[in-house]
Amino acid sequence: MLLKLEHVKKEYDSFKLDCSLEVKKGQVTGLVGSNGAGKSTTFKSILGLIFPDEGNIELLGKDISAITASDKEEIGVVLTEANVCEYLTAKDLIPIMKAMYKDFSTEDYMDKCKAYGIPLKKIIKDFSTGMKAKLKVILAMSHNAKLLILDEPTAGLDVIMRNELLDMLRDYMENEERGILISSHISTDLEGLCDDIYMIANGKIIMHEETDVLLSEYGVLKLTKEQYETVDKAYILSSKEEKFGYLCLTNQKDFYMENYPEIAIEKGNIDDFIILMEKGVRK
Amino acid sequence: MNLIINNSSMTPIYEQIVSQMKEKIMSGQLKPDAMLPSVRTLSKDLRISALTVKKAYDAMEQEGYIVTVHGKGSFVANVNPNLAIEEKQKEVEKIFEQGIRKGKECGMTKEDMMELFDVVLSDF
Amino acid sequence: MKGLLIKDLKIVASQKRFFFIAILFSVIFAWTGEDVTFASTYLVLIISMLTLTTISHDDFNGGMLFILTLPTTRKIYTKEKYIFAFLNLMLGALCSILVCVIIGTIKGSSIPWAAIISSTAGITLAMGFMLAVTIPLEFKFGVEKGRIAMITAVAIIFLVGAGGYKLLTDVFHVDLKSTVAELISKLPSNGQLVEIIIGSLMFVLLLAMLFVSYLISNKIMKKKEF
Repeated sequence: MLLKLEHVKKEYDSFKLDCSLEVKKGQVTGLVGSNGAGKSTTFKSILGLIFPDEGNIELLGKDISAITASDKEEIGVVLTEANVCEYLTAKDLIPIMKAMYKDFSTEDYMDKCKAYGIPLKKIIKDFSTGMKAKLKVILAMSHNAKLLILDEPTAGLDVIMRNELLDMLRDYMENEERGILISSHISTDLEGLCDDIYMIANGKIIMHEETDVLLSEYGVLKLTKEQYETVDKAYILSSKEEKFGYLCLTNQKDFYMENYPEIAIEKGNIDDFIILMEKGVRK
Repeated sequence: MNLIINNSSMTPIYEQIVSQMKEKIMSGQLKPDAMLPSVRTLSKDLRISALTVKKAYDAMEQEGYIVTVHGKGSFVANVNPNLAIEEKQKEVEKIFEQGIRKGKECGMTKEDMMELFDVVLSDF
Repeated sequence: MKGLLIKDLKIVASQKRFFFIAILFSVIFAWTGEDVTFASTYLVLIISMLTLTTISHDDFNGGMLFILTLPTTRKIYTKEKYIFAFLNLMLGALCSILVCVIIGTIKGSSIPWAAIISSTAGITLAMGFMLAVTIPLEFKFGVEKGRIAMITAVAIIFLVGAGGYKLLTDVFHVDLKSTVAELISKLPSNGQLVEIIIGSLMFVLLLAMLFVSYLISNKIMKKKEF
């Protein structure tokens, strides 16, 4: 187990977090949810940047209060709000990283900067959003960390750059000892990368499922009002009223395909599921 | 490994992998003892989750198409030719089943269907 | 710690131009001015401000969040800032003495050692005090509000000091100036020894101020949420 959160609670004026999740070795775990759902609060709690009111966080097998500076060499972090010391250049960072991490590879870092078009001698403050985002991910992956903790690493990137970055993460995972916790509000990014996905809304985890199950067994039913009245709702997780009738999220689309061939059933994607779970009436 | 994954198909991705790999094994494109790509590599190449690939490999192993040696990787098994034939027969059976179900839906009797079957068969 | 120090040095290095201008000005001051000590105070002031520059750069655009995710801790970060502040003060003092002496030598005038050293020591102590007050305030309230808090704090201290002085002289009729003069005249007449004692006392005072300030900052940082 690389990371384990047990009912981590944090209360703000108008927001309450209560989050439990796990990241296992060899796995990529995703956290999806809309802005303000509690993703950043969760990440900051894991990293000890804020102090939860209650609950346990175990990072690399240790309670986070016992994490030392050298333990942190084992993690690579990207936070949306965090930015590399922006008055420096990418080259300035080399001796700093070298002094910080035993396993930092200057060569690898320079190669990656070159490959992803990061100028070494330009002040980071003057980088484009995309360049900054890429640099952050390159830094997180530069020191052989066991666990990557990535909060919205693809934010601000265009589709091509996002794919490049996701490929970088896939390369990183070829070493089985590693694991990744990643959040994104672009769920298609996560569909092809994560092994399991947590869905968070209003500070609570409302769904946890293997990506494979989500994509093969979940589906969206489009029902008329009459169909909605008669259909067996045993496998309906959430429904939302629409002009034409109801949209329903099911975790057993085969059941409905076999028993109700007349119903319109869509495979759906994670975005549809999020909308239905968040905006619909949950069972 | 050249597999084509259709992300918008209703067929689950792991089933798509299984059926395409079986196809390659049966047709001899993948020879016995050939090493398969690792779970992570294939997941990277296909841009799908590693668990999906693992599920596919597990399913194929259970059916005896591949063998996984811990720490070494997965290899194509010495597939019994009968297994291949059996597999094909199963597919044919499935298609017959579908036909019969359709027939029943539109009220055909057993005799109607037999007759139709003979007609179609005589065309070959 | 080493990584953080390198980071701060890199930040200072990125301010090269600013640095050169500061030295240039101090040289001009020392060259043209009658009073060579003004140049020395100026240089200590500028160099010790570099510590605050690094704090505001660390704070810029979520930089602190990044730094704290590196293999370091809040405690190490705080400690490093004070070590850096101390090094800067010493460097400032050294530079100021050097500039004055070099310029003095070139100009061929006699070097007012006593004036240079006492003014440097005085400004170093004053800047040390300023940093000891400002650093914890900036940690507590952030850079922007911290600066305002610092100015307010200095104003209050000044008012209290001035008020206290006025209170003593006007209300209690204590002649502070002559008391101090009397005290000094009572000191042993061996000048050098006195200078050494006063010098080391100032040094100890500087260290003590920074240490107390460090303890306070450490407490603030321990509780701070980012």
